[in-house]
Amino acid sequence: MRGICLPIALGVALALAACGTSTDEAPAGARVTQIAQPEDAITQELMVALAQAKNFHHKARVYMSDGKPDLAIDSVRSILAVRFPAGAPEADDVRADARALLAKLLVAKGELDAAMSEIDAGLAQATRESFFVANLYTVKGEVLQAQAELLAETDPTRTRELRKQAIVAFDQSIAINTRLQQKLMEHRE
Amino acid sequence: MNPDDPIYDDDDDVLEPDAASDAAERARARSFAELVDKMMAGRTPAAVPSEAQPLLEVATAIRATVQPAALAASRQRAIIEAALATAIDRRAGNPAGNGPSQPAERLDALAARRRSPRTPWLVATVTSVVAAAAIAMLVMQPGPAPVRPSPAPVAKLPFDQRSRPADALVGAIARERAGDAVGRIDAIYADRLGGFRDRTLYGGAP
Repeated sequence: MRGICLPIALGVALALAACGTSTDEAPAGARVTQIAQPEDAITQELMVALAQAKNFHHKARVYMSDGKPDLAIDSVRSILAVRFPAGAPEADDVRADARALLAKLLVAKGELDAAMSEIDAGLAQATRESFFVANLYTVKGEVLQAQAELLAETDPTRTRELRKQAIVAFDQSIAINTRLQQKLMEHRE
Repeated sequence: MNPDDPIYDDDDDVLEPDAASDAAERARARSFAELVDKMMAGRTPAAVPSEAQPLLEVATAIRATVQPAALAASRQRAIIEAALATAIDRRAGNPAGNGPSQPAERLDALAARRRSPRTPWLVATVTSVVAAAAIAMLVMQPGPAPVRPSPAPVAKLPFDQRSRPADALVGAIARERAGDAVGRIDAIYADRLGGFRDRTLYGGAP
């Protein structure tokens, strides 16, 4: 009987020991005092991206002052290629503004269809209402207005249609601006 | 059994009760006695003459009355084992368990198995295997799973140190200022730079 009890007791003791050896120790090197970084913090990457966009804008202005619209347009297009941190709201605003400026430069060059393409692309990429999106609608209205002026003498019907579309675009801009202004006012109160 | 035994001699005459026995009568008595002995020993001949059968029945009845029947010890154990096995099977929901009609050989085997000295060794062996498995688990147990430090609570940043839409900063864009993107990007950059410096100078990571 003693020979039977000994292995039983040994097995039970070892099984209990095996079950009780789990540990909650943190792995070496893990930091528990690290200051957490909020995801919406202004980061160095965001500042670099903003600085690049700023510089491209100034470069485009210099080219415009120098009578080189093509180089100015290229410089503004470069803004669209700047890499912003994922999800940064400033990225949407800067890109929308660059599209609006690009469209105005193309209008000044007489490339109305290309200008409208930039507007459409900017509106398609918009993820929320903003003053920059409203500005895109404003510029869209200007492009439509310019297209209507071009056809005023040759195609009155199409001209009227374009003018109506221009009014719709301006109205959309006004509506967005109104909503945003109201929202900002509510925030301040 | 020889049919020519004197006991089966049909030509015998019945002797007088007080007559002395003769050799033939003694021979018949000896032959019948042997037959009775064989029957008592369980070795009853396959063929018993009809004349002897009534005598054997009388002898069996007389023996039963003077000596109660007793089973051999092995037979008693086998019957008890069979009864226990039947009861266990019924309790286990096996109505088709082996009943008392189980063959004696099987009952004897069952009884022998129960008396087997292997049972303690079987228990000891199983327990030893469990102990060995526990030792193996103890030795081969992988290291503790890395415990991720729970994320520290994230304090909400001041408004001007956060990445956010620039609507509040630039306000509504008038039509005559639609192309003034330079002014707006300058304002955005200056504003965010102030927030970035405040955050980094106060110890936050860049």
